[in-house]
Amino acid sequence: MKLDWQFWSRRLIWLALAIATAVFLLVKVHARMYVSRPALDLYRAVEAVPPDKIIVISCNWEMGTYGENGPQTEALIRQCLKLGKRFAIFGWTWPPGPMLGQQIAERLQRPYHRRYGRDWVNWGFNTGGSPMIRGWAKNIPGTIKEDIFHKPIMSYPVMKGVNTARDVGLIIDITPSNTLITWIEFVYGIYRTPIGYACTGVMAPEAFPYYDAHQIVGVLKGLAGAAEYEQLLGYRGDALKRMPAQSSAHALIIALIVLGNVIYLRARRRGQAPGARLTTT
Amino acid sequence: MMRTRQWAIVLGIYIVAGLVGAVALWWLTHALTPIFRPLKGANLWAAVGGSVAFWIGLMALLHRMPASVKKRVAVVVTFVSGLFYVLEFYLPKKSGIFFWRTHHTNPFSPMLDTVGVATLVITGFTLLLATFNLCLVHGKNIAARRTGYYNSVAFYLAFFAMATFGLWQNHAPTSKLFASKVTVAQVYGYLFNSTYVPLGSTLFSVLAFYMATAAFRAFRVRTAEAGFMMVAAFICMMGQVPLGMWLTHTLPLHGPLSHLRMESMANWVLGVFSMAGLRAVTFGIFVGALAMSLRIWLNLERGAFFEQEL
Repeated sequence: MKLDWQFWSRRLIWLALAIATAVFLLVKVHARMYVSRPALDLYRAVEAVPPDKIIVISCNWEMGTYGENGPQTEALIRQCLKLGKRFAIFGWTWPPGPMLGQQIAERLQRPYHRRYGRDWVNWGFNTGGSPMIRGWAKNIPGTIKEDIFHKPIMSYPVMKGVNTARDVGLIIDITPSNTLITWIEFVYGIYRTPIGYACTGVMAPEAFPYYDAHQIVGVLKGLAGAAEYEQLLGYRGDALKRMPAQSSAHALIIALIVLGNVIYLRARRRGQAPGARLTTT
Repeated sequence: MMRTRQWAIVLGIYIVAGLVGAVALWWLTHALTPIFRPLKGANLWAAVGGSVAFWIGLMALLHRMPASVKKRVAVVVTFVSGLFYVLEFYLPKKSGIFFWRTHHTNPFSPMLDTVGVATLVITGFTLLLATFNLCLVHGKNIAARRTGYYNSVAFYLAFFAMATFGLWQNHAPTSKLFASKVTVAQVYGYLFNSTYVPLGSTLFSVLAFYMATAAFRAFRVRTAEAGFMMVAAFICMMGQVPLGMWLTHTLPLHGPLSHLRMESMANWVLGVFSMAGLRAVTFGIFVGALAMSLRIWLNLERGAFFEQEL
């Protein structure tokens, strides 16, 4: 019986990738990151927010990118709780985002003796996209109105003096989507409110033109960015624990590219180059 | 010559329409502002009932209109809606041209909240329409027993379970489920954390497996450009992970040799080559988006959904 190489090669690659990641998730390996400039800048921007201003943590993500955006949210919330910076969780592209942010903040607040309403608040999810953000920047209580528990947001002490985007010290957009441009156009462009960006790895290159132009204060690039942030905060969270698994997955993919090209070159030398086939299923 | 005259006529029509639209818009939003104030009790229900009746009536009327009238309505609504944001954004905050205003302020700015609320309401309608459409498609699958209809059954089960417990826990989170000790919020939390979260993560993580097979089967270094891309991919992939950083960890952190460290090279590729390319692409995209927006706003767009002349 002839072995179907196309069929089995795919299964072998999937198995290799599963093993490469699973082994390093199960075995404890101490990973060390070198903190990049964009992550350090974001860290310093959070530190520099004055006490009379609030930080907005825009949880524009959902479960699909939990692996990257989850540790980023956790690291940023942890820093706010640690430094006693008041913050608001908010979302406007993915409905589950604020709820996931709420779970993370509730889990982390106890060791730092912080309390909902006094130190942080959750504005929940708002639809409306860019027009809503324009209105929000101009009138926060008028646009948000209630928190996730259906109480007026202005009834919480944490909201004292927060009326427009000028009262916001920093907006950190945590997202796999292209929402950064809306913040830059309608908030930074008009009110000069500093913007930070924590995105998935694939979205990171898109942020660099804005970072270079100082339109955003810092960038967290995917899981690596979250790991760098954890290192800055001095704790080993999910990101640092997952970095060895990501290392092995990257190494495997590079090895597969090299192997694929070696097979291709050998076949071409024999005069039977198959060419690239994009069928991957 | 003829074409220039045609364009002049079109431009003239838009200027006149813009002026008339601006005045109408200003009057309309002022007149509608009281509607968006919070109401309570009987007034609230009367307003809800009135709004529903009004929109059903309006939709029924539009439905009976010929296609050309419907299109004209869509064109006018698009133009007037776009005009509001143009006037609010581009006109100065304070100017002598607003001589009839007490502080010479932009008359459109105070209406931004009202229009924002209207946008929220419209978005709500589109969500409802999408839900209705989804239910209709899956309902037809089940009724006709099409191939894989059991997936549609799964959709209905998941949809109603999440909707029921989501709305219930929103209304009364501490109420007990069928006289048990389990609260509605706990059930919703379980459904969310143990079903929705892992399903979403699994769906996305499957991409990694396809990416690995694609890297093996499709990434061929046939040209010099592909070779450069492979080198850049190697540096960027390795520069983001501890393994790559470890490969060059013997090099000093400062000084000329530090630029050869993997993370430094990755940041250089991202911050110089990739950024230059992305700037060019982004610039092109936004110039295109501006042109596209203008074409839609001024009803010049043709093609899908716009192919028929009025």
